[in-house]
Amino acid sequence: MMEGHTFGRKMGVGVVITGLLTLVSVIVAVLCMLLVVHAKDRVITAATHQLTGAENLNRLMEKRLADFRGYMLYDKQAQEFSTDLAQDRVDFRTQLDDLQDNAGPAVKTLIAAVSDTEHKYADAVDGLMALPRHTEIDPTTSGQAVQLRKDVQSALAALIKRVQTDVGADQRHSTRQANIAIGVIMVLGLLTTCSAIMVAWRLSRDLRREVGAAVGHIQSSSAQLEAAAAQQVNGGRDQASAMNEITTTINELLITSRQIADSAQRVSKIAEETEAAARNGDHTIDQTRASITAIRTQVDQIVQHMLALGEKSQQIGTVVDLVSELAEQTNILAINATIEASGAGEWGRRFAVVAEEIRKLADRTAASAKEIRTLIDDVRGAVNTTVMATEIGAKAVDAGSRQFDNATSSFREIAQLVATTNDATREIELSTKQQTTAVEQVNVAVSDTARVSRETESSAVQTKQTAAHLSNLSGELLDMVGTRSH
Amino acid sequence: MDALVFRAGPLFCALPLDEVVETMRPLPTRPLAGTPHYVRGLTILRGEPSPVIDMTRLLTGASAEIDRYVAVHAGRGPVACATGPVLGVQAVHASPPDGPSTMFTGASRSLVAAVGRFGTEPLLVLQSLRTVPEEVWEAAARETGTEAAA
Repeated sequence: MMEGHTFGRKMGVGVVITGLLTLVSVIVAVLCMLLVVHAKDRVITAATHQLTGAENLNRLMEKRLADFRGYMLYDKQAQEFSTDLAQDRVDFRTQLDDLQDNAGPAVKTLIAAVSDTEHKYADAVDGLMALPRHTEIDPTTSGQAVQLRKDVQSALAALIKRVQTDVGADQRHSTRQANIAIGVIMVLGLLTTCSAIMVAWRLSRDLRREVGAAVGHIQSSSAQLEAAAAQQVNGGRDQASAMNEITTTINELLITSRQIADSAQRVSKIAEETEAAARNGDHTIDQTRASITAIRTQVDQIVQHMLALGEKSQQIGTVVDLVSELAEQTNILAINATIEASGAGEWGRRFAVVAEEIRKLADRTAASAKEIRTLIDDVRGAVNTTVMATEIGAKAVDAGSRQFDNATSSFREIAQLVATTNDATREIELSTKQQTTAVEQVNVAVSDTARVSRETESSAVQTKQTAAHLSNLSGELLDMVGTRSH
Repeated sequence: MDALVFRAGPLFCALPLDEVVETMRPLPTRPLAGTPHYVRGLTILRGEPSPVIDMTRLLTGASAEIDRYVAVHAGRGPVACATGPVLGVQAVHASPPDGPSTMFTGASRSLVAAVGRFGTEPLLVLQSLRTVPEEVWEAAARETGTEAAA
């Protein structure tokens, strides 16, 4: 029914139940005590009021008897005794009336009998007192008076006895009520005690079960915490050693960063010098471009001149071919003239000599023409070779010009890249300086981290000790709640 | 003896001037079937069809470049001799009949009259070009008749 509730709530519920039962027991005990007190008060009242009043009536009756006897015996004090006797009767009647209050029917009957007998006795006494003094009293009258007195005393005795009987009955009644109250109180006390025992047993069981389980968990958690703290200690040591290595590495990195910054500064200076040299080289490139253009023009002129030379050579060759043709024809004609002259006698012989000379001249002309033709062919070959070489040179110049343009573009790109490199180098220099500053800050941070690691290691050691202490406390608590299995 | 000296392939040859008509450049020549292998064909010399004899092929059996035609008197008309370069007219000293020419036989014996010297080279003095085979003249006549009919 109380499953799922906290132990505090259970304890609160148990205390509330026990408190309610205790309160009910106290209330019932108070009521019983009030009842017993009331009964005892009634007994005491009856004992003190009615029994005492009855006894007082008997005493007053004895006093009336004494006063009556004094009246009868002492003349001088007769009046005084008569007054006392009247007063005694008044007191008796008052006491008797007083007994009427809070009296039972039986007692009232007995009081009425007493009152009747007392009236009779008082009438008798008054009759006797009405007689003159020193008058001889009739013994019958006197005996009646004594009998009436004895009746009164008997009625009083019966009244006293009845009152004593009532008081005893009330006493027994009150005693029985008191016993009942005692029994009720004992039962309630027993119930309260049993409830308290049940609550205590239930709380103890729950305490052993729940608190024991919780403490067991705390103990296992403490063990785990101790193990984790041990691992943390080892980790903190490893971290501290790693931090030392990192610090060393960062110091080396710092030195390297400074060297890089110096190198970047030198590179920046060299890049500036390179940029200046590139600007100077740009002027040289323009001059070289003009020279290449002039070379290209000269080559074109050479090609044109060579082509003109080839054409002239071809014209010369044509003329030489014509001369060779004429020489050959002359040779043929001279031979034929010699042949014709051989049959013409002496004149023919002389003509044959002339024809022979002409033939020789024609042969020499043909040989010269042939040599010229050979020379012209050589010249034309040389011209062609020169033209081809010149064209190749022109193409080479064009290719060189294009390559020079490419080289110029590349050079300008190089110059631009050098400028870019210069900017980048400056940025690298600046970045390296910033990096150096950052590395220094990192070095400080790593030093702080190493210090924190050492502190963490100390805290882990403290945590481990605390976890061990907590584990011991958990064991002790388990011993206290009695759930440890030995 | 004055002779016209020319080359026929590797040989130096000479023709007596009284047999030579004239020299000229090679003329258009038509090949002629049914003739010996040294006959190149027919050409027109001074308006007359004439056979063309390749002197190099006639004398050596091999072919050589033709530079000149030399017209000579033959039995039935002029004959064109296809030769190499014509070296000119000069006096030729031929060897006696019992010299080196005795080793020639057949056509060569009837063609080579004597063997002389041209510088340091041997010189064949040719003759009897009139003995052009008859079938050549007949073939030339058939060819001429064919042209006339055409």
